[in-house]
Amino acid sequence: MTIPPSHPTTLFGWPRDARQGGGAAVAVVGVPSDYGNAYVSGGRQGPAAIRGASLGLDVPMDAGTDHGDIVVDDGVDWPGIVARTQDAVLTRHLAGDIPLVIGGDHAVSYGAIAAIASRTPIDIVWFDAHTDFCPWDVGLPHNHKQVLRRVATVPGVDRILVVGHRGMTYFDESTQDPRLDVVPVDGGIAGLPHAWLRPGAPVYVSVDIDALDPNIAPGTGHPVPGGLTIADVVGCIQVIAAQRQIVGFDLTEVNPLLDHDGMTARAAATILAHVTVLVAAQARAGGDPFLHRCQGAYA
Amino acid sequence: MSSSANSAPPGHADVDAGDYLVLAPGFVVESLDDRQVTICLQGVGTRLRLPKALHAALMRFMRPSLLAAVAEPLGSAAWRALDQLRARGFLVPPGTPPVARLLTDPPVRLFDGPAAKLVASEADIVVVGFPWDFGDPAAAGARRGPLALRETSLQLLYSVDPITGRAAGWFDADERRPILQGVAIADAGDVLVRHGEPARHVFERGREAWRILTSGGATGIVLGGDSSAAFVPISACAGPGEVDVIRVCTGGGKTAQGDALPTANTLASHALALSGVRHYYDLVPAGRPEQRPWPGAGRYRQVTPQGGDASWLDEADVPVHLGIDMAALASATSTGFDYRTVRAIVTSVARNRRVISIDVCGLNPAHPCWGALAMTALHLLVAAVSAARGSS
Repeated sequence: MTIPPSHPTTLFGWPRDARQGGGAAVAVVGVPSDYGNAYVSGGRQGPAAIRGASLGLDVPMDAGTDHGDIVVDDGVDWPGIVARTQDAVLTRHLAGDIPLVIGGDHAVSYGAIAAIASRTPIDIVWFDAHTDFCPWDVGLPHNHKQVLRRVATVPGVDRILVVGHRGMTYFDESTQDPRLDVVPVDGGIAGLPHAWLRPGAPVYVSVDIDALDPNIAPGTGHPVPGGLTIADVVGCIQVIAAQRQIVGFDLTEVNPLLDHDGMTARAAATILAHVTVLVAAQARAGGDPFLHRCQGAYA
Repeated sequence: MSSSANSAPPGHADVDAGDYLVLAPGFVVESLDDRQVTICLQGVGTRLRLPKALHAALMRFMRPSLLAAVAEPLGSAAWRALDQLRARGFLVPPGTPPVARLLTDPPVRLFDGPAAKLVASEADIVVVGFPWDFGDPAAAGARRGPLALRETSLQLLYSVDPITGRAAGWFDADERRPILQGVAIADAGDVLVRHGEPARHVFERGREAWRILTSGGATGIVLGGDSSAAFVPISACAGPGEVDVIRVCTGGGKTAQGDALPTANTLASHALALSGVRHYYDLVPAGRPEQRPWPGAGRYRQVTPQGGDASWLDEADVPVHLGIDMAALASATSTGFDYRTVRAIVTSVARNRRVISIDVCGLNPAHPCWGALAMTALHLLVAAVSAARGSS
């Protein structure tokens, strides 16, 4: 196993061991890698910063367990980090947990999504200032600007919703895949396509912290002005979760080196506090029977 | 020295075989290896790569020499190559005064676009940095603003079609349309600041560089620096004709004292002392109109976007200098305009008025949230230029 309890602090102070967590729903896996960001480093410190910022937040102690960080400093290269992330998330998924990946840059989401999609068809909800659909060559490693384009190639991944897209880009990224729905930042919950407000496939929720306005979350490598509020993100997830089960989620791109007074890490922890409570409530309600069958296949 | 066409080949009538020439003041060798040499003419920015044999011939002009004596016979390949260097300004008659060096090369250019030489720019947009932070006591560090902003701009690279050379522009995801396609952008570098020299020289240097670069009709953009940097384009634009100034800023404003240089606080007063400035508008986040004691203060307005005075948007033949002081924007550590409001302001101005120059000031990489501030500035700049060009 490649996940040592390397950090003295756990998310929300949760236990490290599933046995101590009782019937915990959420299983935290940290991926302290910024291998996928060619422009600026520092995202590797995101998991530690978010865990530290989470300690003052009021989240039930039995809602989750923290399994530590993927090992990334033993000479492993980027494809190896992706593989380790995929293994770790699949292990938690098969154990009946809802994996929560803390990045790291946004490229780490691919490993988590590939793991879950290998067991159950899913839709993707992607909060991001960018669509991450830059050109990518099949067979090559991806970076954080290409990650969603690669995710779209994963068997089992169907529709993709991007919320928060804005700003100056190189081309119209919203037209890159017919399964892609892009909600501009001023669209709000009312702008969500109806298909996402109806029962359907389980969803994987990925939050790039740059979806938030840089005045709320300045500590990120590619800020874009005019972003979402924390309430926008949480509200949107709540609306979708009212109809769909969340089978995994992540939060990425917090860069403490660019942050001011820890405000970005606090924003990230606040979003995670809301989402973990939501996910735990879904689990207590029984979750999705189809999902349990998938998870049980290898259990 | 004389010049005669009698002995020169066709096309080179201004060279006489009897003219002595020397290396021009400002000539430097930038690199030299086994195969080639890069030479540069500082002040002008002309840069060439030469084969070593031509470099060796050129070096003979360290002392006054005759072209025909260095490269015989007249009209030979070597002669023509040296004559090309003369035509490009590398060889001049002895005693030729040096070209004043106005600009310095930046290590990276805005959006990684092409470099602009110090001539009338053929680009549609020409960028100049003014690394100056002596105009605001609170702006220590802002001299690095132009450089740091250029570095941030590497996340939004400028590119051209490899076949046509036409600028690719960008896609504005907020307005859902392509922008700035076919609009050529070039970066001329930073105004040279020799610390310790009279500050007035720096502003004069900036104004002269601006005049040269925009004389072909290019829209100029100055990157500050503190807000006093805006005086460079304002004074340059006010010279040949009338101009209105519209700046998004925090307000403030004091009377210019005697011969004092413009500062962030006296910018409006200094500008209104120029006969070419017709009206000066400070767009501030909030506040009430205030009376100013300046000469020409009747031409000054401090307005808010939500206030009743919208005369700054009235269509007029008089062109506009548009300014954006980033200190007026809200950030993670300060209050002020939100991004969308400022974007709407600059877009409205650019669509209603003829914008001939733009400044983006208040750029200080020592700001605690510099990355977000810089990217916000770049978005506002691109939005303003796009609106000004009416491009799609």
